[in-house]
Amino acid sequence: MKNCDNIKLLIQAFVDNELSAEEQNVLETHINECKDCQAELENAKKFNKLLKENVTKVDLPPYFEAKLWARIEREKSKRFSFAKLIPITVGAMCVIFFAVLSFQHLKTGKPDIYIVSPDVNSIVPDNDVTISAAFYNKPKSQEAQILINDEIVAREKESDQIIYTSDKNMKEGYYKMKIQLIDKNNKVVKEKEQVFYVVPDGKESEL
Amino acid sequence: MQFEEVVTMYSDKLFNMVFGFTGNYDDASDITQETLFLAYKNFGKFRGDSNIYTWLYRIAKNECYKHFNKNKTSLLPLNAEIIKEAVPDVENKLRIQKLISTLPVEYREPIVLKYYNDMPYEEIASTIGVPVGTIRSRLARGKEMLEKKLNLRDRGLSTSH
Repeated sequence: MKNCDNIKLLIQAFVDNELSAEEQNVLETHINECKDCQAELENAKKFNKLLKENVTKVDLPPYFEAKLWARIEREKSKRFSFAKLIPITVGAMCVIFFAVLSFQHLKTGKPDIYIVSPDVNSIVPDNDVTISAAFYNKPKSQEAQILINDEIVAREKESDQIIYTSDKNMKEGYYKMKIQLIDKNNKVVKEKEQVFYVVPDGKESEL
Repeated sequence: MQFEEVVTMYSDKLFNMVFGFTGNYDDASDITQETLFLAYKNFGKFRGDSNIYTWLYRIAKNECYKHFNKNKTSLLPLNAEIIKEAVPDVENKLRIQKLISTLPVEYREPIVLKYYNDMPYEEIASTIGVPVGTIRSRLARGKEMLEKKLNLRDRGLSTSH
């Protein structure tokens, strides 16, 4: 029986033309003596024929290759787009780089003054005259000062801002204020001027 | 070898193999497209240490598994309408095709490569990556299973043919 099992393998290989001459001899010898295996061989031949006749080879679907190449082209163009992005990215990085440089320049650039209050040509009540300013890039070596009608009313050394509040009611009228940054030799490095109008308290709303 | 040559030489063979493996024309179309697309993307990595068809076969087999996991209905009988257009005498063919695609993978593989790709045992063995002796026994066993599924033995149809 065990021998017949091995012969079955030979039979299947035989119908597929896959037996060596030696194996073919073994098979033939066995078949001549074994009716079961003889029937098995006949069956195998017929089944093999049936399979070959009924296994249907199919044609590629319509436009199969065209679809594939279209997909491949899309992939190529994606890669191309990515490649195109590289100079754009480099460009963007340059812009950012120069922006950062400019910012750094701003940060380390020349000192500047920003007047916080009063506003330009503003009318202020006589009991609440407050002058304040902020400084950009003010070196420690420089001092800031506030002048009203060319008279120094406040001075600041360390801070990046300066505030002056009048401790007495100021007379009604126009005043010219100056914010200055001065160096060690009292030379004005930067200056901003502004005018404001002082009125008695409560009158500012009438003007 | 250029990829264009790969497509020209192997699309049809690959498609038939996948068709035999899945038993579904539409699935075979999708899987073969995906296989060749992946092959295109990885063509630079193909080192040529195996046969190009073996390489394609392994990608396709992997894609079949992915497809089965994604869509379990792909093991249903193939689309009869489409096959009817392609081949006459569809009933018998359809039945056998359907049965092949329901065999366990280890038996289906050699049968598909043998009958859809006309490969000799040696080539089937190297494509699947098993010894020739294993192919012999798997083919014999696979055919026996098919015969039983077709009830040919019980009804004596194949012998009375």
